[in-house]
Amino acid sequence: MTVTHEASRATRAGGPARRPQNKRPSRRAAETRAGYAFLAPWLLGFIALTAGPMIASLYLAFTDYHPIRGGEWIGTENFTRLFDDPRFLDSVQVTLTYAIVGTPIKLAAALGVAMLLNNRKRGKGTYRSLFYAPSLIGASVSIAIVWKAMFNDQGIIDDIGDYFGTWNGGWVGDPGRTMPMMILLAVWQFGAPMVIFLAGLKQIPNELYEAAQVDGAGPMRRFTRITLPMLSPVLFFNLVLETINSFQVFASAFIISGGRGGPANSTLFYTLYLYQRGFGQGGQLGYAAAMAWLLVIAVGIITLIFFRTSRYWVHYSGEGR
Amino acid sequence: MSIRKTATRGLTLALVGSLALTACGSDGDGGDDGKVTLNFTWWGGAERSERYEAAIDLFEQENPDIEVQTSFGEFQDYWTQRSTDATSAELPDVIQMDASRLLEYANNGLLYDMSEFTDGGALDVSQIDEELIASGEVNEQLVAIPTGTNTLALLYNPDLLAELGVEIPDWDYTWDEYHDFLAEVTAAGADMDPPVYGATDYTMVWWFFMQHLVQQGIEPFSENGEMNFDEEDMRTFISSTDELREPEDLTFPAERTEQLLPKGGFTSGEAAVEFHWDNFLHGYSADLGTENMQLMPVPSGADGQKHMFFKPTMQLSMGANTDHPEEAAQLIDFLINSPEAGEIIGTDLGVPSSQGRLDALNVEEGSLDARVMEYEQRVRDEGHATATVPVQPEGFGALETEYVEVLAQEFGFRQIDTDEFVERWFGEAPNLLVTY
Repeated sequence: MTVTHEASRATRAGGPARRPQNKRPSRRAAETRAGYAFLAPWLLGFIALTAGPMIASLYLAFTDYHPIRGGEWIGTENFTRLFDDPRFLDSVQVTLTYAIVGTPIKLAAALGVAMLLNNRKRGKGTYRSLFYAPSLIGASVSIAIVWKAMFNDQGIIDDIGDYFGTWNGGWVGDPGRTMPMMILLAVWQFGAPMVIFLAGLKQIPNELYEAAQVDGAGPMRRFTRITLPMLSPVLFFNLVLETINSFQVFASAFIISGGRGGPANSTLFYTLYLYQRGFGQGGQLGYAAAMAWLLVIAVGIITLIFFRTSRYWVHYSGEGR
Repeated sequence: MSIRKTATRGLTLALVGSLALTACGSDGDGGDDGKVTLNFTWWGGAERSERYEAAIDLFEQENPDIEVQTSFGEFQDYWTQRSTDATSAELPDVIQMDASRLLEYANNGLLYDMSEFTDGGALDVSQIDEELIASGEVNEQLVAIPTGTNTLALLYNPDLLAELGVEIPDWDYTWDEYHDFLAEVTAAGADMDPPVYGATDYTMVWWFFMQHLVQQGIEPFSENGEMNFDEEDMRTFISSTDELREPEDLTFPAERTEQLLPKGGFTSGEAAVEFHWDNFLHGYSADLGTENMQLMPVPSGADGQKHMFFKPTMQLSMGANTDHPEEAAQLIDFLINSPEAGEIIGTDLGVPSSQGRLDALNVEEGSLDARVMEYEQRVRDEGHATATVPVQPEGFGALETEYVEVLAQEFGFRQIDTDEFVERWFGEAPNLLVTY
């Protein structure tokens, strides 16, 4: 890590400023070579650990591969089987609900906190770190365990509920309340989009607000007419990123449900079901590979839709429109 | 600093780093002190682990040149891990094996043929009943050694029953009487906080479906993996507890089970009885925190007979990829034959298969060990064990998982009914079962 950093600094510092014109033309070639040399470990890793397995899994998707028995080519049978599989449909529904409900809430929370922080003058750094902290630890195994304990029967949330005479019996065991619990866990980790929003908010020129205020625009109007349009590129970026992330949620669901996707398939996220098929349930790796590729295609299409529609609502300043 | 210098330095660093990592990696196998390291893995809870660890400490004392690295997991996760091990030819040297997975591993050449050690070699199996040994033979290779036997039982909590004022049925009870008993317990426990139930729905347990078929005189599977039961058989079995689910649901609620994980209703003191393998008495009594737990046989079938069977349990196998077969055989020999190890492990793995071990086992009157052994003895003496354990074809374990983990969950939450359960199980079965 440090080495790479130093190198990039060296490139920047010793770049255009120091490079004498027309002298030692081989210098560029040497830099290119050095560039590739630095790239090599990543490139090797990418080919061996990402591209290779992806190609292999594409092949597996058309076989009935089993980790112990091996497998044979079965054409598109895995894909046709998928659409008759009630648990597959359950998992799609769970994941879509999570993405469609969870992502906007998470982004709204991130934006809200970012705006509050943006107005503060003192102690901004401290608050920013504090609000970011859950995102650092949120993806970890321990937080999922803590989360489960909190929402369990006689956990703290249940106790609070008892106090108000509601929510008896904990959330973990109730299929109707596990999804809100999972979404809360995701929303709580709003740190990453928040920091990006904060950076975006700083880019909005203050004159716009001042001018609007002079013209008599209230806070709501300033938000909808200035903040949102000016922030739309950042919003777009966060939206794409968070949507893709929410399609890939695995660890928290795995831990909270003990890898089973329960109760009653209510936390059977797509990736969790994929894992169950591939490694539990008789090791149907071919079937799991087919699921993985379907996910790639689905996420690709959704991202494409975002990009296609973005021109109607994403406003890039400086784009003389 | 020039780019070239930085680059060279960086690459050198990376190289040194990776060399250092490689050096670390090779440490696991032997090392410089001449010690052989064996990997040993099993499934089970904390109770079993303490016993195994204590036995292994003893083994390491007796064999100072062997180090045993242990790991364990919960049954379903355990097999997930083993299948990943198998894919990368990294199965542990010694593996706790289950008959439901044995053929899958043996037929694919993943297990070491231990016969070379049994002819007067490191592994002495002379104390084990020949029929039991035969259960570990696949394709004329000895790939698994059963450490003991177990049989199905009704475990019950006498303290709780006394509190509720409900009496446990006699040994010759029928399934109908069992249902009445469950209803009685649930009614008596309704006012308790939290409410106490009779038991979970046993039709959601795969092995009780097997037991049910055997009581009907149906041998569930043939040697070649063929299924000898049909949709109707499964539907009849699951419907047999309809009276416990409707009009009022008297079975232990799935929601509550989910909240109590990793314990169950029975081990939390919220259900009075539970069907399971008899050797679970140890883990269950540790979970419940009382030694006062008793065993009963399963109810009798329509002909008044129980048709129970003894299952070879907790087999020990060696990964075919082991680098230290000799030492691995030594460890297995120790675990099945050493009286000291037997003393520690007791009947947690089932009643010991080795006669020498059984004789040496100094069970205290009234202890859990004594209870399991007396139970099995009485089941034998009274002639309840008239059936042989069902054939477990390749894929049997996956069929069980589909039944108890996937469908039973949805059924427990009443998301699917009996017909859907049956239809989906039979829809999935061809993908899981291997026939020859």
